[in-house]
Amino acid sequence: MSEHPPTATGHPRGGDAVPGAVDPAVLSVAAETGPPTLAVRRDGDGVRLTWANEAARTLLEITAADPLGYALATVVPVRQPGPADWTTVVSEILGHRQSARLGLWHSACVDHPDPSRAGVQVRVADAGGGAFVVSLRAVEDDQRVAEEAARESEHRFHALAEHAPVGILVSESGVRLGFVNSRFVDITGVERRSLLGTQWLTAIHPEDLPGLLDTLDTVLAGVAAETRLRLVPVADTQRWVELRLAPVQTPRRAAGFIATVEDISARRAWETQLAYQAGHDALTGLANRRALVEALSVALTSRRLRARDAAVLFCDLDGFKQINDSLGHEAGDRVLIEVAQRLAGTARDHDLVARIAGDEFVVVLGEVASHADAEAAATRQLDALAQPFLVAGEAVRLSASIGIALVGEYETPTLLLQAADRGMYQAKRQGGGRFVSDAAGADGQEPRP
Amino acid sequence: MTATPFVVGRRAVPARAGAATRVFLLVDDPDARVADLVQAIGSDPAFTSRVLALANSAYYGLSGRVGTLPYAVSVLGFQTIRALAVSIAAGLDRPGAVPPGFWEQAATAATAATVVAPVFGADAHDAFCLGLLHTLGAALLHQQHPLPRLCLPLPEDPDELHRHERELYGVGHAEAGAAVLASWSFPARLCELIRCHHEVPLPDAAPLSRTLHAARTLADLALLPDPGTGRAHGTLQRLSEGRLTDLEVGPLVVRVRDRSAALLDGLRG
Repeated sequence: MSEHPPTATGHPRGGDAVPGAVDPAVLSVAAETGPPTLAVRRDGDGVRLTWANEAARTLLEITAADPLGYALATVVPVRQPGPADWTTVVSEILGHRQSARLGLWHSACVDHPDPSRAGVQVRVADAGGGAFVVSLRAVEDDQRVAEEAARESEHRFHALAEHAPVGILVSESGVRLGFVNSRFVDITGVERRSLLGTQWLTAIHPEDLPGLLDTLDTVLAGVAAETRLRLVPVADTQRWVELRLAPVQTPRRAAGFIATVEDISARRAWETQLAYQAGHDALTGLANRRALVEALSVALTSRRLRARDAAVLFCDLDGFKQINDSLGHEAGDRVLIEVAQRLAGTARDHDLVARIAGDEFVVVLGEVASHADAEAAATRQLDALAQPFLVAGEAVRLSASIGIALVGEYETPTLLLQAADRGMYQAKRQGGGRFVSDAAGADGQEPRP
Repeated sequence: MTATPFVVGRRAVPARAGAATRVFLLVDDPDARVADLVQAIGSDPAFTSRVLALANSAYYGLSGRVGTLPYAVSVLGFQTIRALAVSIAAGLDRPGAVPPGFWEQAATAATAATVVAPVFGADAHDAFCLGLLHTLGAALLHQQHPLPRLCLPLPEDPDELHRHERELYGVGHAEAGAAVLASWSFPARLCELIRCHHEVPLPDAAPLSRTLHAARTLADLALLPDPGTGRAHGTLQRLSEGRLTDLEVGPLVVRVRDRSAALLDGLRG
């Protein structure tokens, strides 16, 4: 059948002396000899038939000599009207102005004595001027079932995707997106139309984009993948998302993918906080005992592979108890925070500063050439603590006793810490404010230079 | 000079700040309407122009589109209006009334406080107000006798300013600011945070206390040529329990610097 629908007067359109246009007579013949087609006009609440071609008259058993101008229901009587009857479908589309349904094929049935010929599809197209063209096509049962299933499936997908609590992306080809759901629009804070095609990639944090493109290569090659990345911040809020990507292979089309996007900002912040709490001292923010032992284990394991040794400095404050007793625990806690900051200030990049108990701190020097290097670090620490601490409106002074042990001389973290601890006690016995190196032995007490 | 005469002398709001006084009362009155606040502000042309200038600043993203006082009040919110009222009552808008760098530090701390408030679960309006006003005492002391330097948390010698203020005025700027704000009906919980703003927050500190300290640290990173970056990063990491990592602090400082420049323009009218 011609693409030009007949007009409401029963004559095909498109023949008004347009140069090069198809002869209206040809269109008329095409319409008359084509598949079942009718022209109708909306009339108040009803629908009137204005034209029907030969195939339509045969299919619908229109026997009236001149059916034109009559209400559809009277020209084509239906013995058992139902929601799927084709006249009902047409009336619904026109009666409720369901413009979204115009131009689409809808399943229906005709009142035909042969059940195998009762299944049809009906399409209503707007011909302008209040006129509509109704096309009917007979369908085989299996074809209809398949098309309905496909349409149903698509409808279900859109409903599901649109209201899903996670973001959903569907590529139309390669990395180009053909669909994003409203949750993804919310997560990115970007208009939907600015996310389609390849524009969605501009919502990805520039530092995470190369990694995402690598992942997309993998996915388009047929392998599912997961990745975490940042979006470009919107309204000062940095969002982290987790993408789960699955490849989609469609016959005769370039490889594509479908992805779900979960906003994991809150979860990630919580995980970061938990990981921090597991390895850090809550008061001072330094590494805690657990993190210290892990670091020492690594240092001991790798010592034979490294050119330089590592050292442990065990630092115990002198006179801290008096501060706690005289100025209170809060003042004492603030002194500990300041001590921690000063010790951290003396550390280099590969050093670790830990607080393992009350006023006990341990500094692991990642690289030392000899005892002399460790002793120089201990001197820096004692100097840093020598400045007065202003707390509760008072300036108080502190010192520390430090014991030193080299990692290379011990087998386990416990032995290493015990050796440094022995040095610290020796320094304490000598009056504090000094360091003692364990390698110097019982007699090797090193007064502060 | 001792602390007592200074604080008592400041309890009375200056006569020219009648509009500010009415605003102090209205923002705490649960029955007050925006229209009441608008009427109070509108009685003082200087106050009105500051409110409109701030609402039209690039900081709020409505540059030039806020034409009426009611709209400006709704853009800024009661807390910010109160902070502006404080600055007028304290005469901070007069030439030479604040030490050099005062507004830069206040605008940067206010911006930083707003940006990090969600990290600590603090109210962003309270945070903005605290950031803007926590150094008010420094300006008030400066008006008595010019201050040698601004209140900064990371000076080379953290005790130096405190000692200097004690000798010169008999009171520290934190204490002075909190006392004056309390006498102007400023919420007690905010006054207490201002009084303690040089004390390091302990692990059980309230979200707003952590926010203010983190904001001051970020303000130093944004403003000082040599801010002691390692120590500042350690402080931010400790206060946020690892949420503000070294990687995140850099971009945060850039954002704070950009936005505070817009706020500063608005505050200067």
